[in-house]
Amino acid sequence: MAIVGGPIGLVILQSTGFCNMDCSYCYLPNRANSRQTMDLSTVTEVARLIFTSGLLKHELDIVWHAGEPLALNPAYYREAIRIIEEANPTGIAVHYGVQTNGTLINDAWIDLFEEHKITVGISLDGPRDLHDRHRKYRSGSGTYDRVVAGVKNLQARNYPFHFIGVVTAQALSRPADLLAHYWSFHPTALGLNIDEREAQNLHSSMGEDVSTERFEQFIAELLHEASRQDSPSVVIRDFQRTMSSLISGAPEDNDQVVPLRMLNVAYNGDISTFSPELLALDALARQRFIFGNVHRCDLLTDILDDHRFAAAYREIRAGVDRCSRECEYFQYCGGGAPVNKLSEKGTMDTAETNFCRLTKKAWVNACLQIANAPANRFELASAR
Amino acid sequence: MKPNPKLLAAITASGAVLSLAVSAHAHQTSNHREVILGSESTPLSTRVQHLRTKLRSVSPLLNESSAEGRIDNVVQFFNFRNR
Repeated sequence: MAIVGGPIGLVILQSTGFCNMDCSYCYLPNRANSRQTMDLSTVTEVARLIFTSGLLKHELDIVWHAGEPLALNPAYYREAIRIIEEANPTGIAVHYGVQTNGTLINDAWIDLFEEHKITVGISLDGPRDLHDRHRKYRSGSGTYDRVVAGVKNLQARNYPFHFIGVVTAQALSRPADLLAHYWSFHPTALGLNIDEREAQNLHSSMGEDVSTERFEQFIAELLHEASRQDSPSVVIRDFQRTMSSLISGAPEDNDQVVPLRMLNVAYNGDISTFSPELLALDALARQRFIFGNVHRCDLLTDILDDHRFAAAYREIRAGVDRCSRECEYFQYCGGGAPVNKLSEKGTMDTAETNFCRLTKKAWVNACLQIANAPANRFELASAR
Repeated sequence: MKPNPKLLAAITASGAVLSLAVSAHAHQTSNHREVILGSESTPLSTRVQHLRTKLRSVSPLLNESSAEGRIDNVVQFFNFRNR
């Protein structure tokens, strides 16, 4: 059977696997090892494979993540971007982004961001006490002050940024506090993940003792607080994603279960696709999801012939088929996240996980409740 | 008077922005848990249908068969567009 992959929408490059922080829920292995840096020759090979793949749309996002990208220096990224641009003769619009803990942002970094219009995502878990409880330096001290200093540096230069936060059990009683805190910094958007049991994070505070109804209540109160902010429009990634999925009338295009929608490249050039966190599994488990290496790959589509890819894809498809048979929310999800299925259930051939119960079902229920409330109304504004 | 903030819900293929304006009154009178649990006794398909009916009353553009009003599923991980 011919496997259809792509189109590639997102490339995640692990420029470094090192992080200057040590968050309690982090899923990455070996993050104290500062020698895990992606060589620029690896960037050259990634660019070659991407732009000769025939799998691109008219736009492509390249995001540096899975470690603290700002632990390197701006010159590294200037050169990486030059390499990528030189390999892109097709005129495809490439958007660059970093997901950073924010602690190292200074004017030199903002110069780089401005030069290349780099999208900046800051990881912040809300007010100081919630943030510092889990997001610490290796010394054990909290990182909140340094993150906020980085954010203020961006604000001083009027450079836009969004937040991605992790919701832990301790945040569940404080949705309004959480939302108001995020919006006090005037971000462009907010994305809320949950403390997930995945890869190296073996225990989640958002386990089975957090009921779906409890999390729906959290979401509903968060959305109501969002609607009270002093801002003409509030963008919450998870609300938009859920509403788009509910409104579109078509099953969600789940990028985590379609080959090569996302291309994930580890610092050493190892290639994977599907859930990015599959590259953060323990060494033995990780081998199942390394489908090639950029230095030994002629064409990107060669990875579709790799026996490890075939086995992984078979198991992922079986899990998606199971979701489609067993779950009434399938149309608004598209079959879950392989890494969460594997980390929670030990197999990707499974249906409901705690992750999808909270991040899919609860969001769908809460969004329908708020959207269907008679007092709330939709408005459509024409394209500018 | 300060305009009520709106939650961005979706963007159509033609670039129109669909937002949800949330009533402060609804916030004051709802017991969220009660309302949510109550609404879940209604089948999911019925709740979704109700949503789509409400949307069509906003604009005929939001008809599922309208190419202009088609809404792409947004699947964002870290790839936001901040500008």
